Amino acid sequence: MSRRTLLRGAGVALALPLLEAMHPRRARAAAGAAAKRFVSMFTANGTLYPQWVPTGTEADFTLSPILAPLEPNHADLVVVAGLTQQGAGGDGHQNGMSGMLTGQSLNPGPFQGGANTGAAGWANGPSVDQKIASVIGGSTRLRSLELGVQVGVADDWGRMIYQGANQPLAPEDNPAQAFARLFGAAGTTPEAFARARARRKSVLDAVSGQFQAVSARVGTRDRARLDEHATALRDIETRLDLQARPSPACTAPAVPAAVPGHLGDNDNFPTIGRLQMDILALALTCDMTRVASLQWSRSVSMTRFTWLTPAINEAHHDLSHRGDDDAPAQDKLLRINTWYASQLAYLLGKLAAAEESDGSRFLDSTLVLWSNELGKGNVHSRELAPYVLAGKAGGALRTGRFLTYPREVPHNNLLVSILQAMDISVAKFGREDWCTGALTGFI
Amino acid sequence: MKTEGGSTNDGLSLAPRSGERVGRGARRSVGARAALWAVTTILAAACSSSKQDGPPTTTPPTRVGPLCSARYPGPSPLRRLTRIEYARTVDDLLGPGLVDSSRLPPDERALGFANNAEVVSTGGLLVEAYSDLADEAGDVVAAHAGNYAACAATAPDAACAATFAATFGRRAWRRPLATDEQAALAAVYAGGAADGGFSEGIARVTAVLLSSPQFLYRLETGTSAATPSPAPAVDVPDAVALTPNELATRLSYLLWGSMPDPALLDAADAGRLATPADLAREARRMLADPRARTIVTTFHAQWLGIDQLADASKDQVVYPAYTAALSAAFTRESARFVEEVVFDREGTLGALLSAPYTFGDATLASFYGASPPAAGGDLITLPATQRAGLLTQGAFLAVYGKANQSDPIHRGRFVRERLFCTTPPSPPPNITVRPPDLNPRLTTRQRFAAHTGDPNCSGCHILLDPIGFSFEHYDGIGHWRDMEGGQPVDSIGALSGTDVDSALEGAVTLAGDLSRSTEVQICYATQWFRFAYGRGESTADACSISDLATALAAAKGNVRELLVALTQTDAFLYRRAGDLL
Repeated sequence: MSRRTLLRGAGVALALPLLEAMHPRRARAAAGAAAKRFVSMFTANGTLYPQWVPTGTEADFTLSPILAPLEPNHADLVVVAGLTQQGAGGDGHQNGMSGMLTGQSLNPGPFQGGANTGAAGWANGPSVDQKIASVIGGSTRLRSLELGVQVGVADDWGRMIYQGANQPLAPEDNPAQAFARLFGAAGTTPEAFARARARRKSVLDAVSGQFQAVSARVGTRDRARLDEHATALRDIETRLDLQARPSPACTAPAVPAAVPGHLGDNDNFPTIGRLQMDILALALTCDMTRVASLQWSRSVSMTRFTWLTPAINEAHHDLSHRGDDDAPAQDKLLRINTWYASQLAYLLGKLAAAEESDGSRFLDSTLVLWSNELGKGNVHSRELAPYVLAGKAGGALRTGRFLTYPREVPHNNLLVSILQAMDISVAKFGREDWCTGALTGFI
Repeated sequence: MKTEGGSTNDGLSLAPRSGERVGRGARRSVGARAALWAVTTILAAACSSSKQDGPPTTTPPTRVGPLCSARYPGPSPLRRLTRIEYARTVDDLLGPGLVDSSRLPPDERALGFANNAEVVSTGGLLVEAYSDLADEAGDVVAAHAGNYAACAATAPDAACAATFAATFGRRAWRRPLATDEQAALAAVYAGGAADGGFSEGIARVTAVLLSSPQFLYRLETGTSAATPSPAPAVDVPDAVALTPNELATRLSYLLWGSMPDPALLDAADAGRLATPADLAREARRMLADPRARTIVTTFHAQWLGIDQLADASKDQVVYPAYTAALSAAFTRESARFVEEVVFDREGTLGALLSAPYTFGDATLASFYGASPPAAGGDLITLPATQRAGLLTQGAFLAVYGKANQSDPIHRGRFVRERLFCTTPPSPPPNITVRPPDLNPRLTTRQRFAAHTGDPNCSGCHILLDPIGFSFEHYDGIGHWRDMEGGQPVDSIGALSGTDVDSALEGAVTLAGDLSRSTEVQICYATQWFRFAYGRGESTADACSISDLATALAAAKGNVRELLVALTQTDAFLYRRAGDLL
């Protein structure tokens, strides 16, 4: 085994089949109230609002055709309809993707947007999950875990997680790499681990000094870049001891079967997605991190849903631009969005099946958000953006509810409410002028 | 419409304000300013909302040739080794294939190129991978210490480690190490040796060197009294000349995508990188090295976007012939073609765009309707009326083809954006875009006719579709077709608003026009500027781009001469002092 892997997933031992390991009897060893977790999931190109929005009242509602796969989790859901997702700079996909979790506009930069919008750079602030990670991410092996499924080119159409302004975080979209990062060191001896740790510590000490020295000699923008790097190094250093901690009461899974052929092959999409959801759920239930995200494709997703019956051969984005009167396209978009809902149902099923140390459901201590860069795809509108939340956030959130807000309400208010549900007291989040406070009646 | 001698303050110029960064497709004023101005005017007339950057507030430094006297280096954002550069550098440092860096996350990509320093980001995933890879490099050095320090076999001690740190460190940091830096590494060695002996000591020294900002970033401090300037006197107070070692690093990453070789490091240390002529001499030496070939193919793959081919997905019902093997053959073909043309044949941009040959096996030849290559060879002579140059190759046509049909709009858009460096507007927001459904009785062209019928669309699509329609003989995977929907294919098109306007009849005529265009030459030089310097151009770079375009024209389109010219510009020789503070 190569030395690098020694510092990965240390303390986790024993191989079991992946699915078996996905149901740890005890999610975490620590006593006391269960820690809270936050998960966000993205899917692209807007939705079909009439087929997405539930009917009924806050407490008594019927799920829509698109959300029907979530029926087993009906009582765990909070469906939030009506909000307008904020975004500015670049084109609608670009700023929707970037503003979705940050509530921020895009800074200037060289990513040339469509629709006469000129060029844009990265978002101007942290995403809500990273705000949460900055508070609750300190005691786990990873501050947060970003996973993706065929996320494509590294630009602002393909990034939703930001550690800070101009600091997008790349999702790992290779399940094998994600797995190795988390569980690669299963079976490591304590001695080998100690040796690897000593080297890492010594190297980090020396390199931190180098970063300090050179940082003082460069311009402001370059210094920001070097400081970002140095911060990431410090984060690794502070977590060296967390890696050495005894493992929680969960077992390392067997290495999952390799994804066949080229990772980027369109038809691998559902396979990669399933593996990433398994890894994400395992990382959470093993308390390797408390903040995680899953990005399915990217804004302007060109995924072709060939595995559905009947197969959909057109690219998702092309379909999303068809008119409302285009019945065949509407049917395909309905099936695409419904399939995504079924993926969320799978993930929620995992989290519901896992138990906390007090025997409660893992999902009850978790808050899950499913969002999209657009509301209505064919006009690039961010009005009536679709938000589905699930989980009680440790009791902060009453679930089994359907909430509707006027479209004047900016989605930044939802981000504030999410932070409050995670016990992070803020009055506003994202761009000041896009936020009027928490959502009324959410908590 | 053609206008001669356009003013830089014409109100339609897309030149940004001084110091402002320029997005893809923004024009700059250089030698063929008049022609570019004409393009702008036509674009604006046809597309009322096409203005991208607003009117300029200052006159940019547009002096060409002898008038371009002031030194404007433009901004120099800090550059980090790209994934490709990291992999090659580690291979050159340690030996090929010893450390697998494929797990590094992808580089951010802007203006088409995956090395844009303005959008580089640094997250935990990347830094964690750097740390792991540095540890692995340490293991490699520890296991084969004799390969990296001869003394390791006879006297593995602190003195040997110091020798190793100085020699390996000079290569890793691309400059001699200072005394205090050597002392710091000696302390790292001592800690490692105490824990695990000589091998652990040098493993840690290696890991420190490869985790350091001096290795991962291309730090530049510029000249000081101690490091005399190799470049001519600076006439802008803001501009600072680079040290010979910094120039050696710029040279090697520009031409090889990797660290300097011993000859280049020695030249820098011995004062033999003292003048632009020295740089040109080294550049020519380096262009003869195989490593330069890889950079040239990488540039073209990113410029054309054909490095995305592996992820292009096709409808297997419509295109059962499109297999992973065919896709791989396309990728090999384009790389081999670029390399052969640039280094072994005509050497020119014109040939890249219009050569009547390509390279591949009998299967590829058959795909193109050509005779198989001669036994033992791979040269394919193309059907002269059907294929010519990069834009008629499978890689380009498949990337710019939809999953189930051809894609005249994006093919046309590509020509405007990447060959003429203009930005046609995208569809206005809040309109429903409806790509026509497949209809077995209509050609693609007929199905797309709505663009020319709907006034909301036609104003802009007139710039794209007539170019794109000239590609209509190629389907979504680049296969030639004479009939579509039971009707003959019509590949009549038009090139307008350029210096080579013409009626088109098929992409071969387009290729001929493009290969003769001065505007395309200027755009090509601009694309190389972006790739070579890792950033978009600003108005301050007008002289640098003018120099490049002039050199390319003087060399009759020779690409290798353009690469030499890239080592002679203000943008290459200097950096702005303001970037240092």
